[in-house]
Amino acid sequence: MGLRVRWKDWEDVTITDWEDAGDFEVSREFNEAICAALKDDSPWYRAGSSPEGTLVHPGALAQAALVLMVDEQYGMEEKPDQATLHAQQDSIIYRPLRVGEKLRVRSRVADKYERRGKKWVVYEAHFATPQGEPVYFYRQVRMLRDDSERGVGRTRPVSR
Amino acid sequence: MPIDSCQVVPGFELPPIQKTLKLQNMIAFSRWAHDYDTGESVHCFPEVARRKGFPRAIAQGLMSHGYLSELIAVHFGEQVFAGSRVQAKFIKPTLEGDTLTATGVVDRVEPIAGGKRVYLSVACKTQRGELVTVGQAEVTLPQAP
Repeated sequence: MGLRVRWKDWEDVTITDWEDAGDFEVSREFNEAICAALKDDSPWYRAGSSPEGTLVHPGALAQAALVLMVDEQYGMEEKPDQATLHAQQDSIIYRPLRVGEKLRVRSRVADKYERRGKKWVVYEAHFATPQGEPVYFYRQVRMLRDDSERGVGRTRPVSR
Repeated sequence: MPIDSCQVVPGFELPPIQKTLKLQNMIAFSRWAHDYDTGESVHCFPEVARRKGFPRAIAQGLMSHGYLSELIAVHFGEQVFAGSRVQAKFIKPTLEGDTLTATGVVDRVEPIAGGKRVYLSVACKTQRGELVTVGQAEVTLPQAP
């Protein structure tokens, strides 16, 4: 999608205004792969299921948004003793999205903060048609955990 | 798919769905990410997950989120693709081999122009009974003809 990768330490992540994140579409291959991975065989995701086009799985939209924002646009560097974990997710589907439909994406780093000894970043993205009709909203809260070597569920204050 | 009106009253429990997290599915879901290409994905490579303190590969939270989306779509039908919302907190990691049960219960129903808005509490539990994902979902149902 031609985005610039901006891998940063958490300390260097900045809250941004809404930015143009480029054009976007979910391909048939990606949609089918996500449906298969989730073992969701609902009929509306099958090719040819509707004359209006095949519906995009919400999981495909969310995964695409995550890859777009976290990997391609606002990458947060993870050191060997750190793990970035997806802590919260909010998804709104305004109207059905069909495979191959073209969308425009605007995204931002909405917030960053430290709480309970952990570091957090909030990412948001709006997906809309080229005419501006809202299709999908994505909000992800991501946590950077410094003590990952201590095991699942164990926590301690960040010591940097 | 028409929804019986008795199924959109507070307290109604949606039929749960169960999914077992197999590594092959976790890889299929997560292989699109940058850390798969670099061999550093905790979702795809058990040795990376162990190095970062997890006993096995951990599934992406978005897989649980996807199961919750399926839960409401299977029950309410295609209409959930117009005006639905799923909010989730991933409170514990889900591990390769876990079997998750996604559940939902109707909290309240509010009339809106042209239909009703249904508010649900949703969750995923492991086979050990641990809550791993909790959240809320909202669905708009058009007025029955």
